[in-house]
Amino acid sequence: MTSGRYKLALGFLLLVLVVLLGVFNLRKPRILVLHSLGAETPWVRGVDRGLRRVLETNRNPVTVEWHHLGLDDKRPGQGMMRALAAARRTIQSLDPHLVIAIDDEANAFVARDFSRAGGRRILYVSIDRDPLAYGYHGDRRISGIAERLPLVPVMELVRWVRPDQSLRIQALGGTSETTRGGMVQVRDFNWAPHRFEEALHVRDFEELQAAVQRVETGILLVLDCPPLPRRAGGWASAREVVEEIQRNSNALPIGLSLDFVELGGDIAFVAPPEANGSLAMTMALEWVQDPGPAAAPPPARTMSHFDLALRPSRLRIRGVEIPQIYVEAARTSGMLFP
Amino acid sequence: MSKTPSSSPSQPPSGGAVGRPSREWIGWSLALVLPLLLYPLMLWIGTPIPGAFFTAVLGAMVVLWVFSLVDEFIPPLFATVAILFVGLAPPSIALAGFASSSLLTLVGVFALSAVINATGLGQRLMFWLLLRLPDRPFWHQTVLLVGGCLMSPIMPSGNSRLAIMLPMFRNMADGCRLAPGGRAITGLMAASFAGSMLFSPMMSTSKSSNIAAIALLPQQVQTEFLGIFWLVAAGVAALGLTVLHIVALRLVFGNGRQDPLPRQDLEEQLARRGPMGPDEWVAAACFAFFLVGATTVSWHHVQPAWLAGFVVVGLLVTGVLGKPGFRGQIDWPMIFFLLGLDSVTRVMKHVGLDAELARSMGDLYGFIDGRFPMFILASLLTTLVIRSVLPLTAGMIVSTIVLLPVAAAEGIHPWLCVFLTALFSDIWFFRYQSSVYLQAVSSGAIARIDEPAFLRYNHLMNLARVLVAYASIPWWHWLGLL
Repeated sequence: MTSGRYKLALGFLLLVLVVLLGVFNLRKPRILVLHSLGAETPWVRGVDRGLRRVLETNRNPVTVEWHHLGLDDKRPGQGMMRALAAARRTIQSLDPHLVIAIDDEANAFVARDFSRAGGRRILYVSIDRDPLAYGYHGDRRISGIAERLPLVPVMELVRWVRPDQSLRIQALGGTSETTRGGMVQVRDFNWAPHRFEEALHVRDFEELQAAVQRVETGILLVLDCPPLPRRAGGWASAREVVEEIQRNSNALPIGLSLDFVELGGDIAFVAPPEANGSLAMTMALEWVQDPGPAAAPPPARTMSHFDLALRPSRLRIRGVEIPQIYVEAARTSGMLFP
Repeated sequence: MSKTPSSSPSQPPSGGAVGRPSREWIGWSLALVLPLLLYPLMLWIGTPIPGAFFTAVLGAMVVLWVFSLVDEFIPPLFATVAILFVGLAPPSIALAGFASSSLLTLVGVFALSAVINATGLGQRLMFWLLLRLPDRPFWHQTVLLVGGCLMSPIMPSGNSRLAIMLPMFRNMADGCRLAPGGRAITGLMAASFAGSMLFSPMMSTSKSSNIAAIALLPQQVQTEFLGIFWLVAAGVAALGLTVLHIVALRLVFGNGRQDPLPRQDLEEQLARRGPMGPDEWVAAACFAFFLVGATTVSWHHVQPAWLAGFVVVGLLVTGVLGKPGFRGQIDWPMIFFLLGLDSVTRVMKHVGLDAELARSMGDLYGFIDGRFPMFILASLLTTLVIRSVLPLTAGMIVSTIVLLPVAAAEGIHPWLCVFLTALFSDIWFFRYQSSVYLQAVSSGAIARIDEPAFLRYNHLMNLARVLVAYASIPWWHWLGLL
């Protein structure tokens, strides 16, 4: 064979090899991880750690890509429309077999725009509302992990720090889908012998100040602490929001979001992000192994574990003494603050 | 000081009134003294030791560039080694650029570019186009423009593209017996230049600094823009710039008459090349493979970087690119330069200086106030100032590094920041600012044209770049980038 023909033959063989690899690649399961928040959010970082930990042990070929809607980004120009347009492009370009939609906003988007398209499977994670609220029912393409806010341990703590008292329970949060979903859980929870009094949704910093002033003694559950706009212009940071609550609340504030204590709060019970991530990826990898339309989805789960974040010195100033086991639990989770 | 010739990371020194020996003296003295001053100064204003050390290294790097004391690719390498030497960042960060997908992209496109150049495939394509299009000045110019644009996706260097254009330019100018210094020959040169440069910012692989700059973006943005979507998003600018180029040609050089092309000569030249050889077929197949692959990522889901990797393997396995070619024809200094800069940027983030930069830039760029038209203005001014002292590739990347935190703070899509710096870094007013123009000068082509008229055309195209940036705003709104 002449050198020229040899080169062309080699080129042809390579082309065949590329085509075969391409076909293999096309058949490989593709998973999109769609987050509601930005990549640098503590909650998202925790979930991603869990997702990656499972991926590191996975030996089956799979393509996993991440997309962050970044809806927590309150800078000018970071609008919902832009975020959704980018997410649509990613979904259309990747054409994933399975979308892991994390948090309520991402699920609202996926349920609205993509749940019925192309036989795509959806694994919802960390939704605070009932899956039915997203139309996730009776469909073999949908499964996931619902989030139960850790209200039972909140009750146990309240029982410990204020024994034999019937307290007012009030809840405060922003206006996001996640917060509204969480508020439904708080309202529906059996608080006896205490009583749930009020759910306060605030849209701006001034509303927050007014709400905090109105809070009476008892317990104030803080569902989230997003940056809030000021009426005079500009934004109050998440840290300023937490400081306002800590400084002016007559009730004992208990956070239900991961960054509450890091931003200056005293105590928080949170759904564990890493455990959510690990479980989600484990379920996803199991599910995509059978690409057939008849493949049974993994059974839906409810995340009932929780992490504890704590600032014991500040609690002591408030006159709240907590069992040492709480301190050790926070230390183990890496969320014990001075 | 030994310097490698021609290619862009080893561009000629910037001009100026100061003679070379005294400039070198001043430069080397500054390179020594500035870091020694910067380090205690940064400590004094409260920057932690890692940040202060990094700033000192950065100071030395900038001085080495500004005074062109060494080849352009050496300062980032020096910075990387210095950072590793003192343990400012672990190798996983300080060498992260070399472990990124950009490495394969760069090696792939440079290898393909070298092979297309060496096999003469580019010139064959242009001869072929010339013989099939109408024999009129407009179409001659169009061949040069379209030829350059077609090569842009796999030839990330304006210098390489011009190297293919110049023989064509000479053939056409001689064949049509264009008068030296006339409008026709100058128009033809302008078209060759436009072919080399016009599409530089329009694709992720058409400019080496684009490949490096995209690595500075968040992962999900990289994934989105590495394929065809960059060209889609730049569509209005690409179209606008092409139209304005045609208008500028008409305005400056008119629509003069000229002798017909010596078709017989051209046909003979093409015939002398004979039918396409195996090397050309393989190069053409790799070109088509990469181009089609990069535009159909959403179908096959393989990153363009891995496609570029396959291109290299294909060229090596078939022997079209041999070991000597792999050693000598790939622009390794440029690859080290770009990946070194990528690594340095990652170290900047590691030591927390990016946030510091964003804070200090926040005051300077406060006038933007979230308004995108003002951001375009800020990008233009920043890029022009930086490009007045730094060559194209370094100038664009440094502009991107400066502007990205500003874009983030103002809520502006980071790709728009990269695109604007890519677009505006092609603006030049003085010879020393454009290595592509200097290449044309050294080839003798500029001596044959009306240089003032060419510069008038260039100034119009500078203006056109600003206009198309503003004209793209509705398109970017429609795409959801704004």
